[in-house]
Amino acid sequence: MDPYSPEQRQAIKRTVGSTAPQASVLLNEPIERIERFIAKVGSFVKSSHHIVGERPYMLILVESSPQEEELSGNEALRSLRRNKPVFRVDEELRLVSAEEGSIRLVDCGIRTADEKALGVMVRGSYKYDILMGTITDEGNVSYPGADPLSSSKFHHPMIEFEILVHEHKEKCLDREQNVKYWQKPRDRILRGKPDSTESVFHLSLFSWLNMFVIDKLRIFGETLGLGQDKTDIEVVTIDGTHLVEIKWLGENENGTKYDESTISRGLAQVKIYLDHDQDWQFICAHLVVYDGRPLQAHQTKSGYDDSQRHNLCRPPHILFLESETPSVMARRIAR
Amino acid sequence: MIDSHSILLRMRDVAFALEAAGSHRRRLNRIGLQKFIYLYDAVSTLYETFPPVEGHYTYKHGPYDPAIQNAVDSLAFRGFVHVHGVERDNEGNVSATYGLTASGSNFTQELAMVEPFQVRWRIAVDVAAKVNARGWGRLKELAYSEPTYAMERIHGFGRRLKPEDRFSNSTASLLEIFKRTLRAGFKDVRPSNQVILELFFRYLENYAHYSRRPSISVSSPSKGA
Amino acid sequence: MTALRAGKKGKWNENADEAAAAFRRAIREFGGYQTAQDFSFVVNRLLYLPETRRLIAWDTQSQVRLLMVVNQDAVMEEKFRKRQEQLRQLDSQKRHLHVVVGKLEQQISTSSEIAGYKQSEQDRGKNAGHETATNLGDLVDRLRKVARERVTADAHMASAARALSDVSLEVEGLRERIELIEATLVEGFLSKQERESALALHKLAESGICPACGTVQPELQAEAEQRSRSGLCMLCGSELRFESSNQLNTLRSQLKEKTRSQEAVGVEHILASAKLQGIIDEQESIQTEINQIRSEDPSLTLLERSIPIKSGKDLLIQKDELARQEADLEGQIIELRQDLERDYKRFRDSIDSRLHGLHAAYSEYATAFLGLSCDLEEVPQGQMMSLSILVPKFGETVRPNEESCSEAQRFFLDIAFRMALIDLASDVSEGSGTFICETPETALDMSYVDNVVKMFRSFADKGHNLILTANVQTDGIARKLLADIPRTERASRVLNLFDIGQLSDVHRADITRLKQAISKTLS
Repeated sequence: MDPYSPEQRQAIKRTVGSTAPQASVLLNEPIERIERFIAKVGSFVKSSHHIVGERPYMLILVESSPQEEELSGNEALRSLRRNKPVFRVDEELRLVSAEEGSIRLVDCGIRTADEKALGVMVRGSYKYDILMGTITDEGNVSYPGADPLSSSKFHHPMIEFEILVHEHKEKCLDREQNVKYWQKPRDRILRGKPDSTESVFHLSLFSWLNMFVIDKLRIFGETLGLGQDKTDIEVVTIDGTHLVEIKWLGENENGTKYDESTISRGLAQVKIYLDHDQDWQFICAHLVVYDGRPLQAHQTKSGYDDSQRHNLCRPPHILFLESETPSVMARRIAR
Repeated sequence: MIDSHSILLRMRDVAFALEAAGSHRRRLNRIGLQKFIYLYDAVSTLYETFPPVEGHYTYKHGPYDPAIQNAVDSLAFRGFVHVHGVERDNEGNVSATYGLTASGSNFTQELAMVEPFQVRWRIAVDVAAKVNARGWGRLKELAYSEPTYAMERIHGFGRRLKPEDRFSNSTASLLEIFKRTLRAGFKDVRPSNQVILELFFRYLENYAHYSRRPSISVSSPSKGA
Repeated sequence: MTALRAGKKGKWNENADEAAAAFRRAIREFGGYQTAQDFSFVVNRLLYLPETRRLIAWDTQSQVRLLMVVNQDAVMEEKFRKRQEQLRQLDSQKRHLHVVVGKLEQQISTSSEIAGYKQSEQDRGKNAGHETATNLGDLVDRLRKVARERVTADAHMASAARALSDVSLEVEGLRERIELIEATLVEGFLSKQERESALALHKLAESGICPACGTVQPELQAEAEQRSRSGLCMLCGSELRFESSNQLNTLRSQLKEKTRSQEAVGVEHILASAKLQGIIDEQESIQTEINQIRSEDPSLTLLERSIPIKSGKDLLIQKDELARQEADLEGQIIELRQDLERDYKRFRDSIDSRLHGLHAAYSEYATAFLGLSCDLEEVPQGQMMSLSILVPKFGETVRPNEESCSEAQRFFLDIAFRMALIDLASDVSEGSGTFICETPETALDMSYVDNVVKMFRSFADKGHNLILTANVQTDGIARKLLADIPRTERASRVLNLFDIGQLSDVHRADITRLKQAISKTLS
């Protein structure tokens, strides 16, 4: 097939690269209404950030309510102070109700899944679009991120997934630069609260891929936790959809332990997704394993059953999580 | 030589195009007719049908199927189409717009109710609505943005256009990308034709914007050395 | 770099490292360059033409790199360049091996110890693993396994491609048959409406009235009726009734089924292609590791220095193994070269419409200069791999190298090419560009001065910036270019180095005349 020109790619991305078209289909609403809601949320977040601050809240799209007043920053702050961070609004952000409720990402996901709704979870100037339990977009409203035409060296296509995942680890995870995942680094105990260990890595990688995958049309992240028969991350490109499954090894503060066998289980899980892909969406799959075990275990006990690997799944990326600086490690080894 | 069956099929398409445009109080000229029918052909796979096997080619004024012009001339001769506003320009080119006569309208309405042609009538109605929403003056720009034509035009005239070929850079493959993107992340999502069609027309507008077709280029002010 | 300030109100950062990092960041964020090296390359090789006259119009590597940097939304230029470098390294490794194999063969041929020695196949097999550590052996085993998988994947893809072609033919056949039936139906409805509305052709059949002149023509009527009864066009006798509609529903069902089958086979083809790509990536990755280990093998260095191996048997084993490696490298070189050539072609195809613009811009500039029609022609070039480059064509002749043009033609056609590339870059980035040229009239005779001015003016009229240096001439390019600018603005468009530069004794001696000439240029 003739390759798509850069102009075609840009046009495709602009057409289907936002939450609105899909939300329109799933919610059976006109695209324009969804677009209006998302645009209004963006404006609201920018203009109210200095009033609301870093308090998290959620906006859920409900039926049009012309008789209601538009939500203001001050009104939002009043509700937040009364412990009512869940706002039900229409596409013009007219406030229908303000309610109590958890603003944890997983709870926001459950809420939108149960209600079959579109919601936006906001924290500061950062927002997550959550459509029926799936994160369909996220980003900083005030600083949307570089256009790939003025790109950074971290921008790569999905075929260079290995480079993407290693650069993410190097720039975000190593030395906990952007993400805290150790509860006790000296004992190599991973965090497990308030959100699950896996979600810590999942959200961080999701955010990185959303920013730096140069040929992505859409990216989806699952919010509802393991065992829900949903894939972790899906990256849609023009050539096809890539599936990314995330696992961790080691021990977390809740006493949960995952050993080498988790790798094969991860591969088997990916195989199930791919075997059940009746629409033939996926053209490639990746298993990313964040290894919180001691170095020796990482080096000697990272085997897996290759027969479990689907033929579209690349060999697993098993990444060792450092818990000490290189100089400390060198001194320890020297002793 | 163009086969008579190709011309007959295009008589159907011309009738549907003129009736659908007419419902928005528009008459199409010869170039507009070519462009409209090209877009109507391009989206046919969305409705699980196909354009004619022998269809448009690249030509100097865009995608062109000689059978369409022959068909409208024949329909005019036979009394199904009115020819309006005939003018000759400085270079001797004749321009005119077309509309259906009463007989033409009757013929179209009968044809639209026949089972194999109902879906084609549906396509004409939907495409006319999308073009109308964007402005009939943009018909040429929209047709030029269609992926198959956009890629083939640079290779010169006489190139066969197959927008229904889902295994090439075409409308058919583009529509599949849209469907796949809308289905991703969720189970059992079945986007309607209306949604996909709307996205297709938005794509055409976006492509026209990014590619800056010569007809809409803007010259910058002179700065000098 | 010693210091950096961003914006007029910003503070100077005088920490050299921080300033350099901030500069690189600014280049990426505001200039849209992937790296500062790209920026440096574009400035030095495209935007600035110094008196050294290092041309790009016939420089394959520069052209390829510039096209890729300017169209960086279509290709990862750095990745392409790194793979080209990889190709060069593989070629270099192969040449080294070839030299070593040659030396070994020489030693073998002069060694009486191994005359008549024949190594058994078994020995060869045993010693294959002799080459290096277990690590390399494991890698080679993995590579063999992956290579076998690739053969299977290749075959699967070829089979899917054939199946797709077959089912597509069937689909097209069904479409054609359905079209014939539908055409018959359309004609039926047309005839019906003609009867009901008593239109011209119906009147011909019923009453013999000629549709052209309105007179009654019984003979024409008889003919028309006869043709109509036979399912032919009343006037010309063309076939109008093709197939009966009995089969229509059946054919439509068959078409639906075949289309679904085509879709399924198409998807299988896509998945087979994706799987094959995964295998190829894995193969390349393992092969790169193997090459790395082999190139670092210390015994190779020893052999290059002609230190003799102890036993004749060792010589033969070593030679066989190295010859095998050389053949293996040759295979990798061929594959990588084909990959790169394919990637380059894909890149060129994806920017086809932009190149159309490049051709148009070049033609405008080059024709303005030459005074006769000049365009770009694509020719294959490249030593290690075949890349196509764009060279001038005028006077019905392609100019494949610099020597095929005169000095002035070479110089100004190179300028035309640069300006066309700047136009292209400006279109892509929606900005304007700058071209800096030192003393452009050095190679020019007076008859071409007006043409050159026309070329530069055309460039500037598009909103680009043009910075030229000129020696003092009374009627040169500078005077003619400035002629279009309002008199009051001319002085502000000129930086007079005689006012601020260090003058030589010759200049000082002639300063009055020089100033008069400059004044005339500005007036």
